Amino acid sequence: MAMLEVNNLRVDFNTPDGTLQAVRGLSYHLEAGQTLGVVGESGAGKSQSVFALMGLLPDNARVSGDVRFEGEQLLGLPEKRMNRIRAARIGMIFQDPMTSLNPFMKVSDQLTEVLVEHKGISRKQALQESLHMLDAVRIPEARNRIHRFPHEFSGGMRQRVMIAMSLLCRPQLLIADEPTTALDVTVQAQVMGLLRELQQEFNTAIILITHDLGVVAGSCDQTLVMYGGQMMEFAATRDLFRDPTHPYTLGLMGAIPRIDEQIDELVTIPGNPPNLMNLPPGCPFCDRCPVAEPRCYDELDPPETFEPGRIRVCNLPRESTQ
Amino acid sequence: MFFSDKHAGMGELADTLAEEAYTEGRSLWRDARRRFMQHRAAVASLVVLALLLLFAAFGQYLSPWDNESIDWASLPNLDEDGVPSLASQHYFGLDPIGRDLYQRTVQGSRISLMVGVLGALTAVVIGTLYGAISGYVGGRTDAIMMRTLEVLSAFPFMFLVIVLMAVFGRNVLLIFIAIGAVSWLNMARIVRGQTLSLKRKEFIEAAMATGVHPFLIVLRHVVPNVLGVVIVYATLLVPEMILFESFISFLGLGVSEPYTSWGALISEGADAMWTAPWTLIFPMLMLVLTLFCFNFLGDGLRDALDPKDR
Amino acid sequence: MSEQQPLLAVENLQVTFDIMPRNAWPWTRPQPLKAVNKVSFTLNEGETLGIVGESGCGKSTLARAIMGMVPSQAGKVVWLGEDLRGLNLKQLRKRRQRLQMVFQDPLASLSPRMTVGDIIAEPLRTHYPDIKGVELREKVDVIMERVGLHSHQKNRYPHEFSGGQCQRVGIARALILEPKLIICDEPVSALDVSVQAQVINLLKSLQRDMGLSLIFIAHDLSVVKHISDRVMVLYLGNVVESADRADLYAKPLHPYTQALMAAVPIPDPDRERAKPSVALDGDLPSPLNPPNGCVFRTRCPLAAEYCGKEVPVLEDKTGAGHRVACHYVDREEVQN
Repeated sequence: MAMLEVNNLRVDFNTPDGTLQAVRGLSYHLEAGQTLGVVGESGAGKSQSVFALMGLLPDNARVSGDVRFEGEQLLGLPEKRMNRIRAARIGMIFQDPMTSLNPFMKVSDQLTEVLVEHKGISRKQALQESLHMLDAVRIPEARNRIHRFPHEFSGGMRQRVMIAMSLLCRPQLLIADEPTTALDVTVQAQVMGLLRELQQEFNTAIILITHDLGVVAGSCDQTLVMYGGQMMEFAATRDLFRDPTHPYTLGLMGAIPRIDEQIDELVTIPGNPPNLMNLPPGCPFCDRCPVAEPRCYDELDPPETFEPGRIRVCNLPRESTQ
Repeated sequence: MFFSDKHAGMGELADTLAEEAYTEGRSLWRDARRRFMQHRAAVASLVVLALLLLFAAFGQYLSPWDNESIDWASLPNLDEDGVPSLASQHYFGLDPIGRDLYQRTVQGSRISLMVGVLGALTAVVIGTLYGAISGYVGGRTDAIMMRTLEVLSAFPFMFLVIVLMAVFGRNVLLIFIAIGAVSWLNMARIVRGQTLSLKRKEFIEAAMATGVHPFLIVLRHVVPNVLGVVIVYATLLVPEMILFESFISFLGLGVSEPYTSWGALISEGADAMWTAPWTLIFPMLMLVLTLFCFNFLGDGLRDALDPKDR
Repeated sequence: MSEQQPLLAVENLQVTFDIMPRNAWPWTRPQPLKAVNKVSFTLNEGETLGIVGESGCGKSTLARAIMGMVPSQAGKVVWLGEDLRGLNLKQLRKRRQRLQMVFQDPLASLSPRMTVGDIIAEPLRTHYPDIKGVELREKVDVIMERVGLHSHQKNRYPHEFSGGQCQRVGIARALILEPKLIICDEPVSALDVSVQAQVINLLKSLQRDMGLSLIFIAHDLSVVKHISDRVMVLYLGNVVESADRADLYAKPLHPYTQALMAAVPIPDPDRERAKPSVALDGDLPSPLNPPNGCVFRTRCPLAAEYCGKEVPVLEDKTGAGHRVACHYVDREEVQN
């Protein structure tokens, strides 16, 4: 049994203008110690699909489906129990570290608070443990810096503090929502390298939400490509990049300007990201898809597992996209 | 290549968009109206205010009395004959010297509402322009304009009003001037603050980069975007101005006889509170109702015009 | 290099901001922050110059200083033979007809209470108040279709469009005056990958068709590679390297450029995981208190004591216009 199993996850938002379908029928699983990359453009539902598991969605969201974390159903869990799981067994990192760091509290207090609360160790021990963790995320002179306030850290350092905080209780799963999007490339390289090392050290599984296929290529074992709230393709990262089987994945890969190759004209996917308020009943990608057939607008075949560990969701046969 | 022709793609894009295109855009104002309509208390307040306005404008025709003449017949026994009654057509009763309170309230409403609205209007026009220019130009000009504002707001206006009244006599015009002079100060500050944050927005930079004249930038790009806040503040300013006028009138420095205002009526009513409570109750009800309505309206407008998720 | 007069020649441009230190009195002398330090380059007609650097390197300030939207303290901005820095605001506004700008945040760069049609028409109204009615409408229609928008949409408001469409509106606004140069300040960094490619291709095709020059500012080296003829790398307000695109990407000479390139993730698992890691340590130093000598020395893997003493000069090390500011890049070695 996989560590995390998500089946038929669905997220709707009630808005004044109607129902917004953020995630539709998403299923995937993640083994312990592995990294899953969730890629997609804005409105693909990648963050919502993960926030839903954590019970972190706003009140106007309706979540249905089946999410099992080490066998335990996560959806509909009482708030108190969920809090314990979130703190101790699932860690989170956000794009903007300031959203989860309290600007009025010293970093030392924020880190020790987590430990004292959830592990029940003394404040002194907790401080020792926090220092260890800051060393682990390579914050130089951690001993001096731990007593500073979050805003006294640079962007990259703040993200490191966040990572340290999320790993304090040694969670089995770390959810990273666009952890490097706000950072410069050189800092991004540092942070991604750090995440890889920490994963080895603590054997943590990671769900990495990103829009950057380059980041996925570097760090993920499995990749889930999402579009318009649905899974388009799921595969081992190497397989996905070597042999993408979905028109959307293909288009996405052609659209990236590459530093390692000379391309004259970028391939573009025509049109704009979908409007989640009125998605077509069929495939969400249909009106941007170059090979779409009339029936794609009305219906979408169920996910097809055509090789072990490779799933694609497309009405057209695999050959048509090669 | 799989995605072959980018130009074909571009045409396609235009086509799919054309299908869903309404020719009319949904402006932010229209969105705001929709949100406003969902705010029940605000809509109800708007209706009540409209009725109040009608009352002030045409209420006088509903009663055979006028606001100056004394009902000599009822005067000798005011405590009994001056009671509000439909039979005598003194709907609100008589005031302590025997005039029809209904007519006086109608007339007082006119003055009070006018003071409120004019005060708010001065604030909107002068305050918005002053604040927007000060904030947009910045630097020395801003410093000088803001210091001037601070000097003005440090000035004891109530004292000035009292002096003016003492020198020139009681006069409606003076009240307008006094109120207009005070009302725009805070508005200018608010607008300046808003402008400062707008100034860093890229669309202002874009206008500068195109070479639009600075004054046009203020009028076309800054003012419409601060207008939401301005309107909200202005609605909340109206009751403040009405209260200000009432206060002056309550002190006996407001409008002169035979004209009156809510403040003056309340002042008179307060004196006769024990013998003729209606003389206090009716004008007070009007004032309270108006204040409530404007505050609800301001609330609704704020929700409609200032949504955080924009 | 051609002998023709360059469209734009920037010489030793310097922009300094006065920053009030914390706990300052009103009369305390402000600290100078050198946002752009002695930057020089030339741009010919029809050429694209890419400017890359991380956040805080002064690339946006440089763009605004060229436009005259941020006051510059020294140097020259020679536009068609005339120094823009000597002009007053009125003259400058007139010059901006041929010198336009596209901004990073597509939605924020459009006035939220104006229709898209009005936004695109505004430059025209400003500079040619005689163009009215049908003529104006037609011009707006033509430009909207050219950037891939439908002219039916001109009565809509910016918030009804997606990011990519908003950026097209921004480009249409910049194009309507038929400029010679468009300065693009991170025009695609806020867009989704698929839309980013659309906008890049659009800019390239516009450049081909209209003979535009572009200054393309970005933090993404791969985007810059795709669109530029020449690339300039900034670090802490200083140019550290500048070369033709092919030279720079084939053989980056400055250690900072090398580190920057190594940090760009490659969307290919095999190559990405095989590439050597040249991770840059530490953070950007404070621009208020930049390192003496070479600005990059605090993070440079090669830095030695000498680097702190002398400021490296930006000079042509290959004889082919590949300019580098580093003590370690040896002229002879590179040429051989």
